[in-house]
Amino acid sequence: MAQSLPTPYGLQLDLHSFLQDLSHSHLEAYSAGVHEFCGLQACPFLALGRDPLQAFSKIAKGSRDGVFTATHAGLRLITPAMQMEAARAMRPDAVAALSAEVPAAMSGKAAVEASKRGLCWLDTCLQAMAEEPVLQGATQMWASVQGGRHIELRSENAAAATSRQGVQGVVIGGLGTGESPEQQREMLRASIAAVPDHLPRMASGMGSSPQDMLFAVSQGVDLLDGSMAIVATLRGHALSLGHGDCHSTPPPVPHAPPAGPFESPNADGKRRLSAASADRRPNGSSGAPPACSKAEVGDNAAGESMRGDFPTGQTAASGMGNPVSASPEALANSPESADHAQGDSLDGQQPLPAVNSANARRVGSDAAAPVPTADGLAERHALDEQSGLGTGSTQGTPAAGDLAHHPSVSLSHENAAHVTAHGDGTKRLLDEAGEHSGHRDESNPQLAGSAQPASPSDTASADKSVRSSRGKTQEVPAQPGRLDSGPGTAKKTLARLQYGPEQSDKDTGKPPWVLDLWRSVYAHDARPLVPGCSCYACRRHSRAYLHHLLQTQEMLAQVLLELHNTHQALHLFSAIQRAVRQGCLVELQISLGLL
Amino acid sequence: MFMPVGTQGTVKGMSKGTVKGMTSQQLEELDCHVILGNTYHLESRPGSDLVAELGGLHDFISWPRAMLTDSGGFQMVSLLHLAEITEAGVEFQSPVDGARLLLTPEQSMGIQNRLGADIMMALDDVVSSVSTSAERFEEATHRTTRWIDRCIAAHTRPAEQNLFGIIQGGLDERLRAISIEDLVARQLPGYAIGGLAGGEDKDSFWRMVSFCTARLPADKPRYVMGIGYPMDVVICSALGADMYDSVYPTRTARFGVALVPDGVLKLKTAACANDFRPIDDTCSCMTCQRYTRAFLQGLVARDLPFAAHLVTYHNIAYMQRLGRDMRAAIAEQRFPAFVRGFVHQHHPEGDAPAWICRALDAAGIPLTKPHETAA
Repeated sequence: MAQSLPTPYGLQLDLHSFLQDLSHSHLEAYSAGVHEFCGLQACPFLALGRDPLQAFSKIAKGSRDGVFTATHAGLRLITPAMQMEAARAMRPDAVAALSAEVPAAMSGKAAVEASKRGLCWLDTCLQAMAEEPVLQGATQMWASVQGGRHIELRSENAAAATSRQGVQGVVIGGLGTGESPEQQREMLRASIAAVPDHLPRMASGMGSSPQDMLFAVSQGVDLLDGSMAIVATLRGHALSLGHGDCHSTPPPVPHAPPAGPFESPNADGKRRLSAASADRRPNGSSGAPPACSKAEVGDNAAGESMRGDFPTGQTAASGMGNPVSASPEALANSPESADHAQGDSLDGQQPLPAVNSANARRVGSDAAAPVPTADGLAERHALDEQSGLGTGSTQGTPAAGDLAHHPSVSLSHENAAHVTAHGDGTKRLLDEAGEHSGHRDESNPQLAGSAQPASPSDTASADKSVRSSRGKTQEVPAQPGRLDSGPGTAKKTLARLQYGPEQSDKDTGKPPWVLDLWRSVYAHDARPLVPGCSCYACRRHSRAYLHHLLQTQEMLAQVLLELHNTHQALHLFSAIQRAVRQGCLVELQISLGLL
Repeated sequence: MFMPVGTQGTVKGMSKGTVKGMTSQQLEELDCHVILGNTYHLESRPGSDLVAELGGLHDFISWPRAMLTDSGGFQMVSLLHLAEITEAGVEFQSPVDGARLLLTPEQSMGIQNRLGADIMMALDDVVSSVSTSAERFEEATHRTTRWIDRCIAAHTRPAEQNLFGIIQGGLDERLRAISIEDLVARQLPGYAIGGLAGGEDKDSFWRMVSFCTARLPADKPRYVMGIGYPMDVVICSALGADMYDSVYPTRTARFGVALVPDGVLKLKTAACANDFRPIDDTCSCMTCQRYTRAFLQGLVARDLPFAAHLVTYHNIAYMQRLGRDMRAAIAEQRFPAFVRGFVHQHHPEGDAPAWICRALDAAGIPLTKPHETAA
């Protein structure tokens, strides 16, 4: 039965920038809290100390007493006490305890010190929280997991932070600070492994491609920062995340599993976060499009083409003797119906397609791009320049307009490795799926990627569970403009992806995930940005117009692109939610060409 | 298309296919009815041919209401260093490749025909109002007349697009009279008063406007080009003009300045940081309904584009409301009281500048009378 969840987004607030010029005393004087102040009463706010769009070199540096943030008047020290005062004035839905981002390059010794400090600050913040009646019930305290590139330190840090009483969520910090993609994956895993199941996890500073997002989701991340849409916008790119709706093409199952948890998700498991803000939000409101930075999807240079080589072969899954559903043909043939989504039949347990490294077209680095703040098109050029350099040797994004490749396939590569490393891949994934499907409330219905409500019986049925991810799902009514979701969608999708009209990469013939609207090919193109997209920009405008607006450097380009890219990103996240709920995350990845 | 008497309201400026960050839906919400496109900019990018190919300017920018394009001449003269006006047309150096180009009346008509706006402006020979050369003004006056004939001849869509003429003559009443007579003889659908709003003193300005409106046909719209300060709009309306265009409301918005009933509100000040009122509590626009001065101050102080967007929205709303209020006052026979009230709000101490007093005297709305506030 279709469960409808609210739109999967929330707003991420950079707490430090609030403290830079606006002192919290303004907000205290205002007294109605940040939701009212921003005119976004229905939206959950997550107050973190990091702006994912900022170059990592600008990330606030810590000292013994607090974290430095840059203001017009120079550096300003933010202490835990100040942070909590601001939290009290703002009353966001969640606030992350003060923490200094530990960059990847930091030495072990320094990282240990920073780690200790962070835990100290966490304790201070928790204490303040406990003493602050106005915050209790309104604001959650989340802990930040740091440790730089030091894997064990991260695990320890995560374990220590989450063992504190009162911690209600986790932010995985220090990502996108110069680490390599491989390092980032390890850092992420280590940080998550020690986090108890019931806590929502956010990762900020990861890549902003769908591959990165899906990887994170598959690892157990619930929330990702929303820079993908903004970065694409700044680059003058339109996201084209058209994907098949996998809920309508569940794979055929040789042995029909018993009706699983997908049928009746645990509706009681409302995340505390949502409960806390329930009084602010009308039921299931989808809210207005967020105006500020959004916590939706990962962040990275969105200017890259989304996929590496398209996996032709089908999935080694077939070799597993398990539902061959992963194969496009199978998908194509499967009956559709959202209502019988038996996603659980899906092959979470199958190893992801074995991809040889030849396929994995890696770009040098896809660590989070150092990007400037979302401040208008003028930033685009700064962005392009930065993207070329990278502040670390491993950092840097492909230049804008360069349909650089993304190690999309590395995802599967990684997972395959991960799987096989444990011998019985199937079992391992099952176990993981089992763990992750532990009772998790509808984490923050407004926040993307949160876990779905899962009943304890999930664990039992984990053997059919595809949910190696805790992604949040949402049943969305069929969107007329989206890719058709009839039977054979996946097949058509795959076909189209191979022979689509948007071939910008003639070598591989793979259509891009972004349209670089600066390109002159679009100057006469009267079609909407993404045909079938139902956003305002696509309903009323053409690629030619957007191209013209970019060429003349008009602000409206950013307005329209942001509308479109946000719309696209939200749809992707809805699809992820659905896919996780129905256990067909792998299909989704396939249909997106990520596997 | 226009009300014969009264104020059409401001025509918003859209230089490159967009009113600075506003979507066409927002402009509709804001009750805009005519927006202006700059021919010069549109011809250079994306080019009138491309626009025509894509169905015309309305479709290109998705604007279902009316549009007005200027002739392109003014921008050239004001933006390009080496623009020179000859009998043939406006000679200028292409900013792209330095080639010498010529914009003739025929070409201007061609471009505007392709763009397809509802109102087109004739190419005129405009001289800066602070120029000191009497011969130049004389020449320009007569040349404008010669060019209007060329424009009329070259206009290929007279049934769909209204060609307005532009009265020239500088600050010389004799020349203005000649220009008016010449253009009115061509029975154009509307007349613009050009060559003002260029730095001349206020008294000269209002006198010329008054002189022209007194002689232009009463049943045709009168369009004073380049006027955008609310006070100027009200004064010119009192003197009998109907249409105005200006970048002022939107440009000043991008500097964090909001238009309010008693003048302007500078949002960048520290005072606004703690001010939790909306920009204007008599305004019903989205910005004023949702956001406080404090919120906006934070955005403006950081130069965030969102601030520009919100304040632009409000400023357009303000100008549209001004137009509506004037029309209502005219229709309800209380325009003089409205004007007095407006001036009083801007100058509550009764110290309105002398030129305003003189202008309103001439308009038949003397300020010396004890002011009445607008009903």
